[in-house]
Amino acid sequence: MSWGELLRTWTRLGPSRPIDEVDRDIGDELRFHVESLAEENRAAGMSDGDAWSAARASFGSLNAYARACRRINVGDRIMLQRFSAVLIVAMVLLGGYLVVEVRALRRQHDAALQSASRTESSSRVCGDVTGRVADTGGVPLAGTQLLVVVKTWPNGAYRQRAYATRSDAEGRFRLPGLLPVDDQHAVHIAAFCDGYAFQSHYQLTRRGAEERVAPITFRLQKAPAITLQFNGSDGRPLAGARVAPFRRSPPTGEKHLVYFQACQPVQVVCDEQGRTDVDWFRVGDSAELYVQPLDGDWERHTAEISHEREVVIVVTHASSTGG
Amino acid sequence: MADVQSKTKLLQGSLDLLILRTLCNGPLHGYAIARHLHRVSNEFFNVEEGSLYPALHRMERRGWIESHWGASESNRRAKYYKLSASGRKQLKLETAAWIRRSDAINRVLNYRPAEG
Repeated sequence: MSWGELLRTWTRLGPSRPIDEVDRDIGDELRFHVESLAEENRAAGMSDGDAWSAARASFGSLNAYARACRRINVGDRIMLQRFSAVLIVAMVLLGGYLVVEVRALRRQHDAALQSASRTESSSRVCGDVTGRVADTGGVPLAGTQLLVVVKTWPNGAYRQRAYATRSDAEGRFRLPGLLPVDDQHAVHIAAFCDGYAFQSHYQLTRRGAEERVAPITFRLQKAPAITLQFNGSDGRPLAGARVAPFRRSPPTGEKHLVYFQACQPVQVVCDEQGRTDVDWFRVGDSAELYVQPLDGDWERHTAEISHEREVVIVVTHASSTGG
Repeated sequence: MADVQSKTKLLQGSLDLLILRTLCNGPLHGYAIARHLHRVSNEFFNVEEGSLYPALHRMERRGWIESHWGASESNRRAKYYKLSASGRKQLKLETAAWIRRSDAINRVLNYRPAEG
């Protein structure tokens, strides 16, 4: 039987009768024929015994023909039932295999997550970022913004997270549980206080190092307000441009910088004339800034802070959006 | 024996056609179909009558004939067969094929080489 005939048979099977009912009907049909033959023979004058013998001889093997009819009636169904059973068993085995595989993959995934989590969990035990902010005279500076970036390397991967806090009335600050004391980590902190030039501090602690991150002390220097003027390439002021500090390089050679990821708390917005006053820098600093025009992307620009305390920066890839 | 065997082969090759043609005149049970074939063929088809039933069941599975149970002339339970619509189409096809086949055989049998 071809696949097409098999499919046609399957679709035509419909509600199937019990096989014993099929056998009974076949038996009744064939016996009717033999009985009719015997009756015809008796009517022709044969004895009852001879009539039956002749009838059976004329008909042929009752059992053989009944079996042939049975095969025709239920053979397909039996074959399809067997095929269905094999298909069901195969699907159950496949399903079982997939379940086992998915569970194994899930266990591996969970184990990997737990491993990373354990690394982080154990790394977060202890490991505080602490410090103090004061001016050059040692006077505590309350309300100083501390922009903190913590770098870790869990399971060989790299992770960088930004935090922010403010110093208290004593100029002290604390961010608890950020540092993995038994794994490599780095901390970068930038300190911003109104009227003072910002400073930053970076410390890398390698794996196995016994020392922890020591409390970080900032001694901030006073800074005057510097006016920044931002113009587009058409010479017009860039109203509404956003500005953030990137790097400050005093003449002494040290460098202080802010990670872009952490700079949002100290961003400022230019006014209608494209101007903003900042106290991030001191006279003589080389300043680098992030600038984002209203309809543009962030760019970096450099300026020298002179005694005039006014800096004009031309953002060459932008033009003013309005009048 | 050889004669019975050749008749059996001939019958098997054309049994479907003969059954379809027999049922053209109305529903019949298997015994009546066998009696009709025996009588109309001048007793030529006189093989084991049980061989009719696998053919009937096969044709019913193919949808060429339909069956129902009823009471016979002697008031016994009997299974009657009748021609279906697709059976009528099949009869036409097989009759046409038979005619083509027998024409071809007759042409070969009646062939005489041209004289002179």
